[in-house]
Amino acid sequence: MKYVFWLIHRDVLLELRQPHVLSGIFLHTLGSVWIAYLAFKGMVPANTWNGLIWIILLFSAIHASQRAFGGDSMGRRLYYYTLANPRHIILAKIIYNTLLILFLSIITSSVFILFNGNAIVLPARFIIILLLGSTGLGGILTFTSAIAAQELRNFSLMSILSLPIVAPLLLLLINLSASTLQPMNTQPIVGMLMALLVLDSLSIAMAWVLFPYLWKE
Amino acid sequence: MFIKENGWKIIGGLLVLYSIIVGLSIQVPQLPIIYESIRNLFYHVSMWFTMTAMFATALIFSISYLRNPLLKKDIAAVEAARVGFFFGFLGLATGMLWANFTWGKPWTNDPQLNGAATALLTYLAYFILRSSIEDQEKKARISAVYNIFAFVLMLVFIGVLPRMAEHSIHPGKSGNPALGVKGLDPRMRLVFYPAVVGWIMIALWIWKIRIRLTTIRQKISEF
Repeated sequence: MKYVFWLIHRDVLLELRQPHVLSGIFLHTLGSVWIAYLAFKGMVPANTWNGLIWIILLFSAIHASQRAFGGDSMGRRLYYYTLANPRHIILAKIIYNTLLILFLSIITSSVFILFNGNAIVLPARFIIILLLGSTGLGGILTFTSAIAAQELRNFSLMSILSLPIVAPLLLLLINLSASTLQPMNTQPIVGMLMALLVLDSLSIAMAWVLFPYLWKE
Repeated sequence: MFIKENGWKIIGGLLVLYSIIVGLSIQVPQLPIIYESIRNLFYHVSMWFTMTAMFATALIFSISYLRNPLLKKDIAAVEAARVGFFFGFLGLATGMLWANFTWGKPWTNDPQLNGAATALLTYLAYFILRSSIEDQEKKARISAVYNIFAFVLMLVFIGVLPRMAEHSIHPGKSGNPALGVKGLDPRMRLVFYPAVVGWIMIALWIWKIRIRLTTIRQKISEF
């Protein structure tokens, strides 16, 4: 566990040393929210509101995770390989990415609400969904980023690989968050939350099991 | 010797032939809206069963490759995925034809359809991943990892989510992700089960031929 914290720590340090990368990601997200506002002229029906915010969150999460492994140079990767256990590395990356995605999605949601109005009736539930959603996105996207980083020739590989696997998670999240838009709802929330938890833990467990095979060169 | 080695291919062919002839000629229950198009069940649903069997084969060979990296296991895995994809595509095509007659349009928002489309997209991504890596060993290792990761998450999607969907227009639903076999007419079962077994045998046959073909191609390119 000590190593995991150390690895997260160095991820944060590296990030703070290059503030322009992080601000680039935030700007990209703000730009997408702004485009969505322009496209709908601020009049977004609740259903569309829900779909729109999750699509923007998904793409900014993909954008943010792309650098999880792509950002490190070959030499640096080799250096970590000699120092750390691969399982510690993937765990640290997932935790770091999850926190980053959570932070990003809270800011994105706030700006989205500022521009497009607030359709959420149950804010506490929405925040829980954001938290669980960031965990799932963090797990899946960090792992696909690790796969895509193995091959530098194809830049769109990361989105190609992650979109089909992320689709079930996104569908769950959209359905769950739809339930926060109306005070009276009859949807089976508990079952969907359980499925979300299963997806979250499964993606992290699979990354934990499979990452060592990716790491060895 | 010939019968011993190739008997299952003959049986597979005969079973499929049987399901085509008998499937088109037996009496079927006349259900509203569906009527005679129920016969498509023999061909449409068996495509999905075959696809699942082939994708499961691909998964087994991917896991086995990671435990013991031999090139022939990688070839077996990718060819199983290719054959599975082909059958999935046929399942989609027969399903869309059927849906056009019974539901009025080829594509409807249904958990089954979404699951099938996602599965096919994932395997397309798998093929693209393979084609973008040049090194043989690296290609095999990374694509095996992706195959396992994607398959397990897909299992949750196809196995869990449709059960929770409130309504599906696929028959025999409310809890069953595959098919409401319980509600199937006993006469139809006599055609349906042989059709599934026959098509899986045919798929395995295609798979074996493709493995040999790819192995030969690889040997030629090494010259």
